Amino acid sequence: MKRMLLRALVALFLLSGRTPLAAQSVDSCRYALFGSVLDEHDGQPLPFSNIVVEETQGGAIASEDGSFRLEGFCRGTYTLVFSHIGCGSRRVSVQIPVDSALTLYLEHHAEMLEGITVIAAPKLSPHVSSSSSLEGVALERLAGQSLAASLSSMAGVETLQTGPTIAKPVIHGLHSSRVLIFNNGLEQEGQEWGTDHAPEIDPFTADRLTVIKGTGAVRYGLGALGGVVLVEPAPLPRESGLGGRLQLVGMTNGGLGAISGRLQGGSKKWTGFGWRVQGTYRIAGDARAPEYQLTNTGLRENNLSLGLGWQREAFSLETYYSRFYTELGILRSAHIGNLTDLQAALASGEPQIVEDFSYSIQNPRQQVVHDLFKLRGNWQLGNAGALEAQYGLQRNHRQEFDIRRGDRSDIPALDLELTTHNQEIVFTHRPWWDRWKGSIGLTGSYNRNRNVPGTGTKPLIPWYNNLEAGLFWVEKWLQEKYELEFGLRYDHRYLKAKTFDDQQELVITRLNYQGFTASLGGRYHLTERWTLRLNLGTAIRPPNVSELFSDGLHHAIASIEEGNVDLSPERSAKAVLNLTHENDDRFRLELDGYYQLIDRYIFLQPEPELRLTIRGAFPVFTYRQTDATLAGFDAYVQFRLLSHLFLEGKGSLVRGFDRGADDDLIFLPPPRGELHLKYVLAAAGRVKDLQFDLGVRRSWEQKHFPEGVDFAPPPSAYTLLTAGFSMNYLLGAHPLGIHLRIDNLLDTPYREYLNRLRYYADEAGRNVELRLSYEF
Amino acid sequence: MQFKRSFLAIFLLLPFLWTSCDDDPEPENPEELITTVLLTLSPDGAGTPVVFSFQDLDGEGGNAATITTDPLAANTTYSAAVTLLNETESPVENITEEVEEEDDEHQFFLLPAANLKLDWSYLDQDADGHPVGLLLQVVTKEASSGDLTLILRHLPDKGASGVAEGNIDNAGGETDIEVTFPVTIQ
Repeated sequence: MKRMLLRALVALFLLSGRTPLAAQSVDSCRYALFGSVLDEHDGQPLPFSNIVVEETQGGAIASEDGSFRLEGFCRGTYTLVFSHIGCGSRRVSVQIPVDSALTLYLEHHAEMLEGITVIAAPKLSPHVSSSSSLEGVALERLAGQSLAASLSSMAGVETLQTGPTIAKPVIHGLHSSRVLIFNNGLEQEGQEWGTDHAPEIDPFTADRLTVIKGTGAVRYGLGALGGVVLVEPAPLPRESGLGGRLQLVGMTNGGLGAISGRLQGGSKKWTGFGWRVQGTYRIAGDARAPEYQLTNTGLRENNLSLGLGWQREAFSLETYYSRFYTELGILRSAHIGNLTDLQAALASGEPQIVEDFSYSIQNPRQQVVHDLFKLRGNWQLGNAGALEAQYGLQRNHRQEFDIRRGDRSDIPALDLELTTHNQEIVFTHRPWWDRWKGSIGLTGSYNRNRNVPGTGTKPLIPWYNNLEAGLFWVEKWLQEKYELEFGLRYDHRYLKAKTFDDQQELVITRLNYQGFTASLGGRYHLTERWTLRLNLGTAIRPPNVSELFSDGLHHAIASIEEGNVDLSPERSAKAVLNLTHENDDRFRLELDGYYQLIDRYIFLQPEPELRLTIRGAFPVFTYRQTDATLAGFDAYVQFRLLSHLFLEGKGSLVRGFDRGADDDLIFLPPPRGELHLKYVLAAAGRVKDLQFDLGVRRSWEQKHFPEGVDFAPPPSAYTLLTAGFSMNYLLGAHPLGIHLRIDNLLDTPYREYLNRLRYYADEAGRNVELRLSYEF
Repeated sequence: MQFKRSFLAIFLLLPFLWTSCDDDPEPENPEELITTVLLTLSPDGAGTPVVFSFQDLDGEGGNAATITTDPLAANTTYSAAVTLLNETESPVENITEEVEEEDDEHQFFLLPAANLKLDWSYLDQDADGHPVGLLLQVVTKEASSGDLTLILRHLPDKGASGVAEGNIDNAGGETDIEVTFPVTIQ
């Protein structure tokens, strides 16, 4: 009796001309299924097997070496029929995307079919660039954290914090305006220049978080020097029926509680119509460091999103609205008057104000409302290709409340309203000669920033209008073993700002920036498991309004920052080399090495003289430019020690040089490493995805920093232990996820170099986190 | 098809809807600005008051501050009054009143350099019986010279050890004012 072993790997197909626009519907129909058919007895390839997809009536014949490849899958369930001369046929139901590789035993006689073994394996990334994604159970295990904290579980991604509640992602040492974040296909437009301004995104909306660490500038636009973050919700349902998910999160540290739910469905009457309603409420009180309470570090967050979609064969339309509301407390002790106060705080080594645990949020605090609206259409234009058009409207209202004299505590000290219109039209041509895939697109955006009057303070950021237009073209050349991608983009930005001089006279500044960016990338499949990627890309970033116009005192860091209207755009050239070993249960590897040159890198340079004010003397920092180099690597490796026991390691290292001053760059993440011992059981009865995890995280001391710039030396190295248990339990047909995790198991006090409030207090201590999720 | 065309037309026309409203912003008045600190020292009994002044009319940026002092007489007891002004307002705004209203949240401290021979103490109290320091007593000793620093702390811990006696070490809070006068006692 002849048996066949069929290995089917499911992967995201290599996207062509992938733009933020394409992030959703097109993406979801670009999965590929590939694998090979082998004889189970001797592992030899079985050539010329026949594979038919029942739903599409498409199919393929395996090649001489038994390998096959099928493309054009959307998310959903497909039935594959495998057959081979001399064997019977076998029907296999496949859910796309597949979380794991399938090993299927095919037999001569259908009635003697054996079971299906599921082994863990990663999916191929759709990006030619080096990128990482979080989805499914891995994302559920992080639920309830901020977006940046969730992202930081990927190698090479760090967080820049302002206390326990405010965090933003750092990719390859760069952050803020140098990282673009796309929320459901739309570039997130908030006051992202501020290091203490976290992205206004509810991570519960995401079905997948992707970080593109390579060179994404051509597709994603101005500023993507560090990388691009994609926050992608699941595609809207197309079939009738009601479904949803409920998630509950509780954490002991800070008494954090979060509840998030979604309900979605389709229509029987109107084919292709789908909808989703999603909401989140998150609350936390004061976090606790091992030795004291971190007073005034609570948060409130409530978010709502609605999605409506209509998909026909040659046409689809989708609209999305979300509202994000957050109120964040800032460590009370970090609000200080002058440099003497800061030095006193540093000398004491403990926060000055420590009160009992409370959920109340006092000044200083931030309050932000972010509304996002999106409308997108997609048309199949016969044989020519497809056209996509997107319009986005965002309104970001940020209020920051300070400790003020008189009865002014309820008056925001900063009150900014930023309105953004985005527009994109992208034409994706049909594949030429089955080898060339690509698209050409036109993008435009308009920002309008206004200071809401009545703050009684000098505005940090002026009145401005910003107009941007871009044109891009990306092409990909596909071969069996490799693919090449190139892209070209032109951008123009016009910025008009209105400020006041000393005599309160209006000064109007008009600035124009333009430039080309280009990228060249390649992916080479050395073998089925080894992949090599090389990406070269340029990027430009015009100075942001803060770098151009800021003029004032920053309370938490007791320094005066002065903008510089003469700054020219940063220009970057980056090379990323990536080596991946995947689709193998025993050994997985992902290695990224990068080298980036940034000309006219904008940074804050301390002036030699202190500025004497009525509050005392302050250091003055001015925005200047230098030529900088960044280089580093990220590594991820996983070994199978025993049948269910895995050892997983992660590490990253980045170095930065100021070539102008022949010195180190400041505030770069210190070297880090993480080691996990995991016991994984994919399925056992009603239990799925069972995992025990014992981890150790080590952060070394940052030894490379410019002398005499920072107020305190980088904190010392620290080692933390974590433990976790996670599983899905099938209640009927629906999984109930139970995830328990203990962070900082030994309650170790430590300080983090990339936390702006490290001058004042330790990081949060032990945290027991329980997460429940139920999908129906 | 009709729908598709009109949708596309709306899309292509959208940029023209972005006609930026070119309103002008109004200058914001920095309400909490303190431009001027005056320390008026009146000798007990008779005599002309001596005024120390720190004036920075354009706030934290811009031009440097102007500091003026006059010599103090040796072995003399002075009553010193602190005055805070915002001189960018017209008429000039007296910030001293704001501190008076919130006197439980504020406290002044004097820090004479070691070589400046003088003693000082508080002459006023808030409702809780803690000193405020809008009124101070300064007693000069022998002729000497050195820096005298006046500090205003917002939200200090007035009950902490030594704070009522004018020792700033345990006061905490945040510094609203810190000005230094070069003083000569002759």
